[in-house]
Amino acid sequence: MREDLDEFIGSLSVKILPLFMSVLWLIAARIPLHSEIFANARPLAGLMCVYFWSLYRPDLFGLVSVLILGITADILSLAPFGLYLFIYLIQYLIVVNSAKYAGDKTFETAWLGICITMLPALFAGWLLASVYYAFLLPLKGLFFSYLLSVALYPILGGANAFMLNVLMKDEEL
Amino acid sequence: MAKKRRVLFLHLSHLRRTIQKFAIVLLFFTVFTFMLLNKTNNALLEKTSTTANEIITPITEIMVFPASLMLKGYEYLRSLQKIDMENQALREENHRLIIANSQNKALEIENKLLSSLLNYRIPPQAEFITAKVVAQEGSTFAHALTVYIGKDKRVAKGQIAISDKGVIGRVEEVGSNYAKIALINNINSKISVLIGKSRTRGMLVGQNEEWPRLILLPLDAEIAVGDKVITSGIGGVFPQGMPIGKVSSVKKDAVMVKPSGNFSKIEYVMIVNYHLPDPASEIYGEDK
Repeated sequence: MREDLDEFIGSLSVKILPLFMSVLWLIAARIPLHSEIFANARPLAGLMCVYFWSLYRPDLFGLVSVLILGITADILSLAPFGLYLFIYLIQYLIVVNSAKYAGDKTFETAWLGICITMLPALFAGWLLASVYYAFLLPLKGLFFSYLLSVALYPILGGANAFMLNVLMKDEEL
Repeated sequence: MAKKRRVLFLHLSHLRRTIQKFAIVLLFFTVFTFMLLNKTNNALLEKTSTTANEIITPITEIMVFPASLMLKGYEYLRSLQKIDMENQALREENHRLIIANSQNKALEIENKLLSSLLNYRIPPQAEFITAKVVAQEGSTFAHALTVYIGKDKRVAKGQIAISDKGVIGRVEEVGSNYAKIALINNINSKISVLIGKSRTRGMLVGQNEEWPRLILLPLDAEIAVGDKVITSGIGGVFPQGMPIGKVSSVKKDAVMVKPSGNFSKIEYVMIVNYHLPDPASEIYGEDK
């Protein structure tokens, strides 16, 4: 009975680990850094996490996780509620439907993949926000956010890969 | 053989498959519903968001601590070489301030005497609440700060947020331990302002860019780079004469304003309650 409970708790913690880590990244990406660049453009940590987990472990990061992460991002932000959920959904759909083209999913392929898949997701979000405000929002900040996200992906991806390889290696698939 | 479970007239497995099939569509529908509710300032959505933020903000505050410690250490090392020069300048400034302080005291007494002679009603004093910045948002979608206010109940939506240099924004959302401040370059920010010595009226609007811009300027307005921008007091939210920034560029299609407060360097903000009468309550009464 006790072993069953331990097993259940262990399995549950592994299942929620990707989502938990993603929420932590989301919060960490909002820490004030006293930098002119970060005051106007932030790396899109949530989007990077959606990309990483839906590419490597779509079984642990499904639509429910995307929904929870999206709503959390919307709660944290002053942007229109639902916008980040929309962007994450687009990213998730792109990654899930194009994962077969990623081949062996090496780090280089994944890095190239995020460069490509983030663009339509961000553009769709920008379009929706522009319609919401009835005003074409500036693209400069979004472009810098994109560049920062691509540049910082190795750090976030590396930390997530560590979780995947070390903490989740004993997990039964 | 196990009997298939039924819900009303549908098999449960069939129902599950149907939901899975349309989950994406449902989620997109949810997104548009959220945005529609947000546009109408739905109270339920606001309450849910506030409660969730109350849980998240203390976590953010804990996460900020090591990051701010590292930044402070780095800035301290950088500032060591400047300390001697700063010390000298501060001594001189201190001397100047002592003289100014005594002059101010004399003026204050004179002001009180003259006010009593004129039977002048002194407006209520401003109330200041200092709050620590725990999160910052700067993107194409929003420019905002989240501040930790502890259990302070005096902070309310619509109050002004200032830095040591001037106005930086307005309180947009308040929870039991946090407040979200929409910065003056946020797209929802609109402030009536006076520009330069000519005191030209205009509207300072945020467009989610680095700096806000001026609109609704008179056609014959003479605005030059360097002109000071202050609040006009019209609208009843901001008192008159609070510094906001300086005109940084004047082009045919846009007049940009560089805010006095550096948004990237803000560690603490002051939330100010000027006890100004709420224009809405004046029109609709107290039960607006």
